[in-house]
Amino acid sequence: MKDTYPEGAEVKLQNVSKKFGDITAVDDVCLEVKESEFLTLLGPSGSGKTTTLMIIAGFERADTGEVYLNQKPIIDIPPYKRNIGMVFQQYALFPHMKVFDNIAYPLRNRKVPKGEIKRRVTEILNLVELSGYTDRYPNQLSGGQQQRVALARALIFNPPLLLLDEPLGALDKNLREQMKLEIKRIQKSLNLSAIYVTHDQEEALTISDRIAVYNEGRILQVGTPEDLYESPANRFVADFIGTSNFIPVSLERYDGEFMIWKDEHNENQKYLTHAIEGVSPGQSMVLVIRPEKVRFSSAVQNQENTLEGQVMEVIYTGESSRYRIRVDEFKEIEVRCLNKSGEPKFQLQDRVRLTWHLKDCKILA
Amino acid sequence: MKGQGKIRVVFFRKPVTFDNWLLFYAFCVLVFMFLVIPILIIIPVSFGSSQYLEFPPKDFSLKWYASYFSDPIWMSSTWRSFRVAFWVALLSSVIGTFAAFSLVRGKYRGKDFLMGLLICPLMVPIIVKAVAFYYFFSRLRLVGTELGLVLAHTCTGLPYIVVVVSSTLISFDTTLEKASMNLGANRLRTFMKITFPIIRPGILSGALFAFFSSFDDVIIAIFICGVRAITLPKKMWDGIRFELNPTIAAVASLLIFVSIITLVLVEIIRRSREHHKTG
Repeated sequence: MKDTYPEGAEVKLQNVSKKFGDITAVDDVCLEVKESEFLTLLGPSGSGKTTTLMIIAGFERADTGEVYLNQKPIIDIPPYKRNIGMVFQQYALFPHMKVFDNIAYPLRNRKVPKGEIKRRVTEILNLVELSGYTDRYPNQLSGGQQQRVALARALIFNPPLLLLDEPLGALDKNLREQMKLEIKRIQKSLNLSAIYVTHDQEEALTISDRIAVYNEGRILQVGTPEDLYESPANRFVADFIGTSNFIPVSLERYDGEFMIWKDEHNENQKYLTHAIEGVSPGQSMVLVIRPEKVRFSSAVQNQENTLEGQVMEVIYTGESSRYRIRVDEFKEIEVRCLNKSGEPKFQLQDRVRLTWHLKDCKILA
Repeated sequence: MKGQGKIRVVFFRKPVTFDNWLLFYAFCVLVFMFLVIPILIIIPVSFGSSQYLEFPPKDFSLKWYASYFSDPIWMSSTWRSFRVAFWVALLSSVIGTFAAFSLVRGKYRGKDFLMGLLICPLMVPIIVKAVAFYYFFSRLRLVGTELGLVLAHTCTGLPYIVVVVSSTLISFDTTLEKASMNLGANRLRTFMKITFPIIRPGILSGALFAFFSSFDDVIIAIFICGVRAITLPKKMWDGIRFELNPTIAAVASLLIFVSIITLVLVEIIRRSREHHKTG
């Protein structure tokens, strides 16, 4: 009898591709999940994240490439021999079985003796805080409870890897917050590796050790939540994770340490950034700045990195306020600032001056 | 409605108002009587002692029931009907379920055509089928055999199963099968433990239809029974034509009783499953 849960598995996807007819669902994806890591596949719907998960679970077969679980190739292993736990979008609890039988199902498939089944089901029901519900049918449970049963059923056979396919999608907001933390807690306490699929960037940021951002079948960037937010590798990531202001620019000058950029719509508007590699003068790029990194400034400072505009919209959200500032007919900048005492407050139509720190803006292709 | 003291019924898109409840109830009772009296009238007739079908009966007697239960021909045709209907239900359930799986899950061309072909026996008039079976089966020397009856009735019973099981399968969430395989059950075990138990009510109700479509049939039976494989409805038909004594009334009453029992049983089974069928 195994009482301790095994260490989380290592997963490796090597050049995995999958087509459905003419549509490439997964396009040459390489990905590594480390031992006991919580990795999230984040992307809009149809970006290939769920297909990737299905390939790992064994329900879809990759056209090319290989999937390794603890260094062993698993592409030819049928799903029922892979020993990977999975929580489905709509939980997929068996409607004709009681909670106990649902959770005992994977153990019965593995011919575990009766007494041990009873002990282990009781134990895991404690873990997900659902003791006393063994005789209910799934449709007699609330959404959150069904979710816990699904989690218990996916964990009871001690899989080294847990897959979660948008598991919180069907829950209301408060419950989602709560379950998010609970899933994370259980994953950490059992030392599992987990791959989590979601289209909700906020969810991804709070729950993950690392995030892989998907679009159109490809992985655009893999990194910690902080990496992705602070240093997005491209426009899509900058736009998809959090909000960003985009200003089209072209390189004017390069003076060793700094680069001077010219606004594409306004010759006289200049921006200053640290030098980056691989850009030649005249090349069109985009300057990216997060709303909370933009500051209101009173003094007339350097001409660069300073914009003037008019407040078009103020949205009060409690802890912070969001301003929409119109600079010219091509540019509207979103600014977010905390509602701390002493911070300047602005009304509609006010003329304001905006600026930011050199290190806070990014130049992306 | 009761507070207003009037009953509004929509009849051909026009609201009709009944001024009092009595009239409304009287109307309902009339409709009800129209539906069931012709059927129920057979019951008192079966308890009379007259040689002829007589209503109302002058006295009470069980002699026609005795005559039914003691007559070896009545008995053997009854058992034959049950036997044939049982095999029809079984055979068409198995074939129909496989067909439904193929039609719903399969990915190939001509599925609609195949569905049409399987449903076809429902559309063709029974008498046409009966004649066709008769000519076909007489070549195969199947006329006058139970096997012939089973095959003919399976052909007419199959569409029920295909239709009911197909609709059950369409609403079946295939994620459950994925979940089952993910949890360590192979395809066969997944079918036995997950798919089959969930679609079983559909198969059972289809099987019940098939059973009664066979048990009820007299037209095909007239052609296929011959003299050696007489079913209960065929025997009753013969009884009306040649004997016309109240044994038929006794048999009919018993059949009504069996139908009621079956309906009640089905309802009980349905209710006991209800609590986990939804959701």
